[in-house]
Amino acid sequence: MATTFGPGRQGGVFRGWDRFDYVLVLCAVGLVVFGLLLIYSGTYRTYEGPPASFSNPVTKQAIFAIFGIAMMLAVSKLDYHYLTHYSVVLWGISILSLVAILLMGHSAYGSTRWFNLGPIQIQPSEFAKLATILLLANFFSEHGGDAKDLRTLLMSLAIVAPCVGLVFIQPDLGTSIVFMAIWLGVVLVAGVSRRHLFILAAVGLAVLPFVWTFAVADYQIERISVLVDPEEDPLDAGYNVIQAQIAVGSGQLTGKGLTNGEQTQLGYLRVATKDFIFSLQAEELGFVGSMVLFGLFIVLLMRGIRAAQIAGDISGQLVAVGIVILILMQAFINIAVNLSLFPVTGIPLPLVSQGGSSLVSIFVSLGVLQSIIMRHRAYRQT
Amino acid sequence: MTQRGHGTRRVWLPAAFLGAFALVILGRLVQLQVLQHDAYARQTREEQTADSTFYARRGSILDRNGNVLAASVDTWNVYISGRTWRAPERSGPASDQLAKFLRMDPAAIRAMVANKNGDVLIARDVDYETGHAIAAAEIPGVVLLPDSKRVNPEGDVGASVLGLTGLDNTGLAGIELSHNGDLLGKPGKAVYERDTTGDPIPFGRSVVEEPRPGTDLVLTIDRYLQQMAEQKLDAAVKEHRAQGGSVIMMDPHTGEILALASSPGLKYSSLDLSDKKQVELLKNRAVTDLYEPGSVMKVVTAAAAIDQGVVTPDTSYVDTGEIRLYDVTIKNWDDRVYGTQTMTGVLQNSINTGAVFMVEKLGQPLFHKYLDAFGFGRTTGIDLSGEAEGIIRKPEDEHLEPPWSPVDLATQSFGQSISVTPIQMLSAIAACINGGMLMKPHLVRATIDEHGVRHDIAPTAEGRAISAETSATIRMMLEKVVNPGWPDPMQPRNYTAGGKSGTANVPVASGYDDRQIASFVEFAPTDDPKLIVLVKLDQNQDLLTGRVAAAPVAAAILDDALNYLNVLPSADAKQVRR
Repeated sequence: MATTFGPGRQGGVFRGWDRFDYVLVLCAVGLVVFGLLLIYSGTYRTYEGPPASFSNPVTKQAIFAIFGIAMMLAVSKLDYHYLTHYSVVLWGISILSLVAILLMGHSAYGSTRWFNLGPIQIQPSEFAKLATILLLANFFSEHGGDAKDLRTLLMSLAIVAPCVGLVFIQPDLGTSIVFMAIWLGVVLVAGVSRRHLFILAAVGLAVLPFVWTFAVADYQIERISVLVDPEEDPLDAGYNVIQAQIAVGSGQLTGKGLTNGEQTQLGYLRVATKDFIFSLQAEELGFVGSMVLFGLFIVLLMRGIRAAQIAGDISGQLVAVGIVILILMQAFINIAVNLSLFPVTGIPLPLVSQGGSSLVSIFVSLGVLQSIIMRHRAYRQT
Repeated sequence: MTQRGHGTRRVWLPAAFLGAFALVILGRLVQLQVLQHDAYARQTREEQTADSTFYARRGSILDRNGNVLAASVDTWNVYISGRTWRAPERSGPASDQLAKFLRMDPAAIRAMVANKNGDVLIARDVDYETGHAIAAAEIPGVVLLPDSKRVNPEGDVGASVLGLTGLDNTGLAGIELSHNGDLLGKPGKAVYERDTTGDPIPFGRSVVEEPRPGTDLVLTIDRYLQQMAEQKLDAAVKEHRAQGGSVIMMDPHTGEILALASSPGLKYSSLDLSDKKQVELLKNRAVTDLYEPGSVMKVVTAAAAIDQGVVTPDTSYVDTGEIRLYDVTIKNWDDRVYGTQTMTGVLQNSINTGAVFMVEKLGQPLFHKYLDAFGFGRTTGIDLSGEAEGIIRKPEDEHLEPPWSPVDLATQSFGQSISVTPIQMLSAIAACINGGMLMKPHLVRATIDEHGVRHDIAPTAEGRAISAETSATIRMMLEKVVNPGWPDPMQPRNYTAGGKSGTANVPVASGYDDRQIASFVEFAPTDDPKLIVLVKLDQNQDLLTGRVAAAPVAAAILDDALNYLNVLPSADAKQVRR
């Protein structure tokens, strides 16, 4: 392993900040503020306590955001090679916590995803995603930096597979898809042979019917079928799909104004500040608001791709790609769910949805991205 | 050794994939928010607004003096939102609470709501105070909508005229049916925003249209006279062991019906519409049932003949007791031979051959023209539904079975081969004695609109049947029928009167059987008739004639009714003992 983080390159607290990607941070903070406004709109009718209380969803989210930003700054100061170096350990802890959650986790909305730690809930899959990215990057950089070899490819698959499996049986179909997308993105950049990919795709397609029959929970089939025809069961499974679609559609070009969306305010839309926050946004701020939100994510995408391009080494590049996919896939799947393009999966909208685990883990991921950006020149100079 | 990053081209692979995903989402956003927004905007409006109908207060029905005969009182219909009650922890306490107010079994209420998503009607016409108490209790999912219930303060009096309303406040019979449009008013509509439980949002509701209350009706019926008519009819039906009958009181000059009793008739107190026989009671026999009037028709025959000048009251002819027409022999009702008789005598003694004498002088075309002028063969237009037209056999009618024969003309002159309704008969005789105008019988005297303004309904003259002079002559002749010169139970005690009896057998397919209908039409006072009354007894088992069975009832009614109406007793009335 190339332990190239040598002396002199880390010296001084202020070193590297000139290369810090402020656009990326502004973009992330913009999304958080956007989210805070929406959470306020979605909860002010039901929350009656004092504004400065941890039980106020807006305050709570803001506190998590500040904590997340602090974590991001701390992580960006840290050389990401430390993280890739110990990625096996991080990955191992993630797997263990995923197993643990299956045994003792907190159940919500029909699946087990949380550890309950007093007022906060920890969702280990959030951190497992980052650990997996780090381990994948580390693995490929150790194996000649590419995935041309079938054995390497299969081994990388073995890193992702336990996560996919454990998350899948929680059950959390959406996160398993995110894991697979991350793996696919990383191996694509790592130069996977097209032939191998086709073989794997063929195998995957062959296995799919068995997965459908034996492993996919009834509720997931229901969610997929209501996507095809929401009116089939308009009061139960199809309910939120229809309501979200109506919310988005009725928002029209400029929306009904913050706190004025009837779908949200009258309680038609469920989990309006979490998984369906995009619908709330679309109803109250309209197509224009959707474009602003969308634009911020696109900027995030471009900055992440830039990070991957300028990354100093293969592991940095792969980590950056993984993180971009991690954030953007979640964002797009979430929006797709809100627009009835994708089955309901329970994936939050990164940085925007109410929820501390997701917020902090995304900021940590952004910190890793910053760490890569801040260290690109050091390697070029070698 | 340093591993350099790969070429930037490959980095764009996942970026391109994400970009494609972004484009799909963008397209969908444009579709939903820009292209289809109208449909979704409409959907939210539809989903979040609900409307409910507020029934207008149904108009009241008053008697001619303003006494309430039927009125609506405010009640509440209790609904439960099924969706709200889905959770057992909610429906349990709520049903217990509601059950106390409604005096129902909580489990029964839960069973009614179970597995329903919409609003379920739990109780109808809950009284006003209870409804307010339920509303104050704020039981989750309970919705109260105003409704109204029909009450009849006078009990069964006039029930057969008033008819009844269904649960939806719509008239099913009687005045309630025939004037349903006026009484109903116009329902209002409220459109309100609602939340996911279907409950209206506070302050979000807006009434779009206020209900317009129904029109009040002032009937021509007098509740006292109506009650008297019903009592006297019931007593007579009982006394003469009749199947039923009718009593109608009318102002002969205006056609206003002051009382209309039918037996058997509708009674609110014993109403049970699940009984098929009771459904029959919804029709008012005085306007729906046909009968052959018998000798009462001789009045019409005489009026026509005198009006045409073919006879005078003093024209005489010789009665031989029978007339042979073709193969038919027409005899007098009592098989007597009266010898030489005047036309007045024909009415007094109710001689069939005399009626045939008059009609033969008159001729068929003229006689039928008069029948038409007196309103026979068509509805009178009284404001009750289901009125029958009556049947007159005429030579121009084809498909008659048996075919028309001159015998029919002869029998029609004394009230056979012709079927009429009691109301037709009464208004025809009224036209004979009121100066000659056929008045349209009616039951509504005035309406009172929603602003409280009264609109009087003017009496309608259908046309002149006979001249005023003929009418005066008929009055005089009919007085002599009732007052032949000696005391008779046909005479009212305190008033001069005129009238005519009729006793006819019930026609059956092969002719007539021995079931009979006895009737009497009488008016008083003679010089200025204030009231005309028809008493009709169906199939009285004692087989007494109209003159014996029905006339005393009519006379007693005239005495009491005219006294009640403050008509001065006639000076020359015979103080007879009945």
